[in-house]
Amino acid sequence: MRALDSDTDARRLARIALVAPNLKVLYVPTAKAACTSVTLMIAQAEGSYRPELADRVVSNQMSPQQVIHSASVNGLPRLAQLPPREVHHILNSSDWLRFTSIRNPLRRVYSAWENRLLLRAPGFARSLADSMPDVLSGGRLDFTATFANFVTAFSERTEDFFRDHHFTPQTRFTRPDLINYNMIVRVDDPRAISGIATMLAERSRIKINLLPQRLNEGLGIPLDLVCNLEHADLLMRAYQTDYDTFGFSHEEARSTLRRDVSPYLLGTTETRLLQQIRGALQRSLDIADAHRFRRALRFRAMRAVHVVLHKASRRHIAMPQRYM
Amino acid sequence: MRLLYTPTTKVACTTIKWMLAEAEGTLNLDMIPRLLSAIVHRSQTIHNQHVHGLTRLITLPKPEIEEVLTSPEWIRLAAIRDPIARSYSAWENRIFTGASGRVTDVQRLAPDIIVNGQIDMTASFATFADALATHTDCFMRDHHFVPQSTVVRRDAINYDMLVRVDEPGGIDLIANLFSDRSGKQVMPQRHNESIGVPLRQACSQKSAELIERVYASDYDSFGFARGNYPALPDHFMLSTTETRLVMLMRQSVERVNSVSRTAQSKMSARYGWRQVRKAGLRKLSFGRLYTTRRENSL
Repeated sequence: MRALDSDTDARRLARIALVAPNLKVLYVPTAKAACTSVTLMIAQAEGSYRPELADRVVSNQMSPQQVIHSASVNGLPRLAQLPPREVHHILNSSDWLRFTSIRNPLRRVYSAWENRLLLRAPGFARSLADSMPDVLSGGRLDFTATFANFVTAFSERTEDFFRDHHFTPQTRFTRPDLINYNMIVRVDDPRAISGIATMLAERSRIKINLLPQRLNEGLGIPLDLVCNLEHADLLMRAYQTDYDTFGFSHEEARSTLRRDVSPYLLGTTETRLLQQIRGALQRSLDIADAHRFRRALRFRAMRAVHVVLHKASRRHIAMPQRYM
Repeated sequence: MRLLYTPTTKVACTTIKWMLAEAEGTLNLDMIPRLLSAIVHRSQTIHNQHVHGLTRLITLPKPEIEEVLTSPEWIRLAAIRDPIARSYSAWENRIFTGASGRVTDVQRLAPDIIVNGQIDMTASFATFADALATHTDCFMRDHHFVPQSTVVRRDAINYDMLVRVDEPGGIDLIANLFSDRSGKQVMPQRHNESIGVPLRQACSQKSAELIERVYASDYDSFGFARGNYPALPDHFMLSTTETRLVMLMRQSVERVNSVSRTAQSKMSARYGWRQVRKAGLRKLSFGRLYTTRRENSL
């Protein structure tokens, strides 16, 4: 097994991989593969979950459920925070469970589009949303045509999309060549989440009844009403590595799709609600940005005061430190 | 412009304030992204004084207040709206979509009625009407539910214009007034804050009567006509997707509230003092206390 600082993906992997020392579990959360639900269950089983801190997080998460991804709320250390000897032990010991979750690439990219681009959830992909405008028909959003716009933009700028971890191929995200996983769970199977819950409850020292629930679910509009075969093939080609690495079947998704799809229009109320959600998310972002800006101002002001004091005291007061 | 406007919540006050600030030339759009307050939509930021830039009556010296209230050169304007339509809008905005308000209890008093994963709008609104009639005092702590007659006090202010914004041409009348007095072309903007479910499909006669009883003073003061609603309306159900979108909307609103609350508290002096104390304790304990683990290179 190669060292985890061997390339950029690997370093990122070490930063995101969650460690539950009591459970002896290493989990690599794959975006858009039930990572919110699984992270919550691990934190609960580990006994590190601190929901009372959720209200202290000023970040761009879309919903209160997603605050579980904040380190202060889940309380789980990341692999990159541990000493090298411990990392080596976690990655090699037979006592440790190293697992990740994966999902059919086509369904995953559809979910990522819906969540990150259609709803305009905070993240890098949001900046790409302008290149694929909504298609409206009589004040109603044409879901099919809007998705088709995304597929066109995605096929033209695939690498740009891959920079957002919600769109990054799962192979690149989980790197099975670097981590010797004991378990790779396919969360497309509805029983998979229950299986993870049972496994975590067994490893947990605290008696806990984990509720296997899918959090952060989408709008519930089936893929086959929105995506035609041509678009599916384009998307599947972009994620070919995932099909090769994990053995997903092209036909599994293709069999439910048709060559031509009729326009699927959202209702007026649905379209309005969508616009309102985007508005609320924009406000959330504005507030978080304004907060960061003000804190940065305060930081600069404090640093300036410290420099003046340093000079005025003829260096009796220490030089401003980097942590200030 | 020599104009006094009394904003009444849920009576097009957002639209009117946008027009007023634009006509007066005090609108400051640069302030919008800098606000930390829990305002859910950008359009609503107009209610922040830094954005609208208008002067409040109470901040003026007494002789000036006297002049504003009595001078024939000044126009005193207020807007009003049918109380049932207004309370439906307040319910939809404050309770149904969960926008932040001063009183959170009101959301608990009027829960959704969900049937097979779909929200029953008619039954949910009926629950609200019932709660409003039963717990009126609780709702009256939120200014979105306060009767218009207590805001638009005709006994205290001699209004020159009292505009019904729910009647055709009402908003245009106000826009024309602002355009005339400012010399700028002012147009009303639609902010689409409603989710678009018509009142008549969500309100039954029983709900209407309960609301009319609560807002009796508005009917007496402004002579609103009492409407006829179906005794047993077909229940208006949101689709599964609409219901999911409502839930997502509420979650987004909850995050706005949470982020705003935290951002404001982290800017406070108390938070700053706690950070200083933590830094001191960290040094005194030689790094044993309040030390954040840093990433090690692997």
